[in-house]
Amino acid sequence: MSVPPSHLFVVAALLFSIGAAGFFLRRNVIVVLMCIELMLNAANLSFLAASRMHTLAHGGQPDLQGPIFALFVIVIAAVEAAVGLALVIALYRNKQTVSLDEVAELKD
Amino acid sequence: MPPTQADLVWMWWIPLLPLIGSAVCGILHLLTLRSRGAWAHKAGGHGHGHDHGHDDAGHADHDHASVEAGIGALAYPVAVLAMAVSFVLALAAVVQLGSLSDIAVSIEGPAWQWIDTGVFPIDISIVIDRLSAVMVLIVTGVGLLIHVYAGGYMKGDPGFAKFFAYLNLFVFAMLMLVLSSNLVGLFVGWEGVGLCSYLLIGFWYEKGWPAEAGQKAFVMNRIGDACFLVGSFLLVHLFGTLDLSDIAGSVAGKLSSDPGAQFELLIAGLCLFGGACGKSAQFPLFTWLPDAMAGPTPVSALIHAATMVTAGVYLLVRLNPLFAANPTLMFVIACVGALTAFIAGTTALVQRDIKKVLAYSTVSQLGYMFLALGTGAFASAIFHLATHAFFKALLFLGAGSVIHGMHHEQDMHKMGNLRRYMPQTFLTFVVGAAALSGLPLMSGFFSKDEILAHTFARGGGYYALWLIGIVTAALTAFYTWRMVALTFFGPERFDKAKFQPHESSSLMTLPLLVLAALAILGGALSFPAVFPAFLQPEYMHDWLRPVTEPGVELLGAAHPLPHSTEWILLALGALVALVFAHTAFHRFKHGPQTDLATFERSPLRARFLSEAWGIDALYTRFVVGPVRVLGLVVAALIDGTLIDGFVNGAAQAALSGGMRLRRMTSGSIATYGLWMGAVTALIAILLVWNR
Repeated sequence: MSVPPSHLFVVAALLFSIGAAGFFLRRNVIVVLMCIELMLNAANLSFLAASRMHTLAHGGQPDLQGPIFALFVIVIAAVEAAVGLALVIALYRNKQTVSLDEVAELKD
Repeated sequence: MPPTQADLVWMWWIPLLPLIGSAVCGILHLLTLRSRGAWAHKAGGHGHGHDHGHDDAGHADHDHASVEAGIGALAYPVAVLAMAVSFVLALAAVVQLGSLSDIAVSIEGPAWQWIDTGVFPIDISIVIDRLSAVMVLIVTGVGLLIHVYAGGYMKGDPGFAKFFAYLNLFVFAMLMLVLSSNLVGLFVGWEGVGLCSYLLIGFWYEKGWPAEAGQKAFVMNRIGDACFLVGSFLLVHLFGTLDLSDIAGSVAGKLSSDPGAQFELLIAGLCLFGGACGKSAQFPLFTWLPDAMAGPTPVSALIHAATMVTAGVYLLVRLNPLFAANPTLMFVIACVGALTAFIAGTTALVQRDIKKVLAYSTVSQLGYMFLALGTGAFASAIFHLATHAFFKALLFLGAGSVIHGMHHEQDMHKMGNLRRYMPQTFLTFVVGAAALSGLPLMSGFFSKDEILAHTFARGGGYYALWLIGIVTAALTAFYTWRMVALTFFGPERFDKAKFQPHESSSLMTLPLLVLAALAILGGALSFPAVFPAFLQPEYMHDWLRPVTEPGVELLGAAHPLPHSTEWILLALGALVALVFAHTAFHRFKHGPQTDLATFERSPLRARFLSEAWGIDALYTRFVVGPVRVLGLVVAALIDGTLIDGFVNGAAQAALSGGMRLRRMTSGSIATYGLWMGAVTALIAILLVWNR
């Protein structure tokens, strides 16, 4: 039994929409970071889905481009998370807040 | 056997020594400035008991002068030594030149290629022929004496070392001018002496008006220099070479092979003559020279009497065939010379400032030289140049001694009876005055008479110029002896309670004595043709023959005057000089009453004369004024509206654009994300679109 790739694309789209909605609407920095992770993983999922689609289309010969891209994205996402969380900690130490609304000093 | 170029490397030391001296003096000046700063810092306001030797009222900063006794004073021996060695070398070079059997030969130092234009190379090269020999001896010889003198005159000045740096640099430039074998080197020297003249006129710039006088001299000279450059370009175009002797030698051939070149030659000659007019202060560009008296007196003696202002005469003699090719041009030169001599002579009659009298007298004597050039008597012009260098340097240095002894008083109406206080200055000054006014047997008598005789011999329109010349000779005798009478005779018109006039130090009187001897004996360079043969009459003509021959041939020699006529002219010259010298002396020996009466009787005429026929006022009205208005218009319209508008507009656009763009920086991450997403989407769409 196998899940058809189209279903995977739908899940990826849903994940991305949830991530994007959270990114635009939430004020908590940690939640925003999590939403970014969601969007990245939605992208990963669609890479894998596309890879699977290609594999099926070529008679079972595995297509490795998609998984490798996904691997790269995971690495970058880990780095991004590390830097982002470090920034959040620094921010909290200085301002005792993690709300994005309260940090706009560089605006003007 | 003529020496080869490689043997003559030492010739380069003639101009290079003053250049090195100048650099050393400049460094000494910088060191002085440094130690002065340190001294002022340490000593603060604490007084300094030091005798300045003399009280120069015009110089700023007496407290600092005492520091000069230190390192800056070294500039004096350095500069004098450089000049002395340079003079000895020049003498050696001229002796070597004189010993050559072929009189047309010149000795040439090794040359270096400077610029290769692709069409012809431009060399740095020096050459001594019979003309530059005379000039080099005058420049280094008189220059040496004036350097010696300046050590006394400038003593205690805060810019002592700087002064000698400039003075030595001037000598270098002047030597390059007279030694260079091509037009470019000559032009380098030409501009170099102009620069040094500017620097030295404005030497006491903190007083204000010397700086302005320096600027005036510089700008007036630029007018002439522009003409000079255009003339040089034409010469290169016509002859395809920059070598001065090549150009001079090929004028006659050019004329016979290509008659159409006549017009271009005329224009080139006119342009070079214009350049000479600027440098040698001829009508109508002479107004800078009287103002140049704002410089220290040794500068007036060296630059504005003996050497730099004669550069124009040198140039015309050097390229004499170019001018001689066109008799009309020659007549124009003679007319300009005579007119300048006359205007300046009349102006000198009513000056009260002793240096102004000498300045106008210099202009007048330069006019004589140009009159001589215009008659084709090139050697006479050089002869007068030499004697004038002796006696006018003497007079200027004498005047400097008077000014020095009078504590910077230059108004002759406030002098009088100085012969009691400064006997040596008085004696030498009288010798100089006698030479200038052409009293019989003095050097000026022979050189002036030679010019007048040659003018007379030309005949035709030149008779009128001769008449102007003899009238100017009368004027010369008059103003010279008026100056002597007002300065050294009559009642004392200064406040003896304030200061006591004193004789200058021997450092200053020694050059006076040497120059006085030269002013008396200088006539021996070229006795009148009617003198007995053992005196070698017209020696200067024989000496310069290789240089002047081509020009004289082109113009055609004048009929030699019969001996009786020449004797009559000689006697007439002597009579005129004696009568007018005598009249002036007796009119002014009791004080300046006659002057004051002249001013009272017809103030308009007196003002007209004293302001050099109002030529300066004309310039102010018709040149300076319009140029100033034009400058204002350009400043307001072109600079203010157009250029500033463009620049300010660009700045304004950047500013307002930035103000608009900064609204993008809202501070909300979500907005940034939106922008990012939107732009990414846009790029994606474009990529897909263009597939």
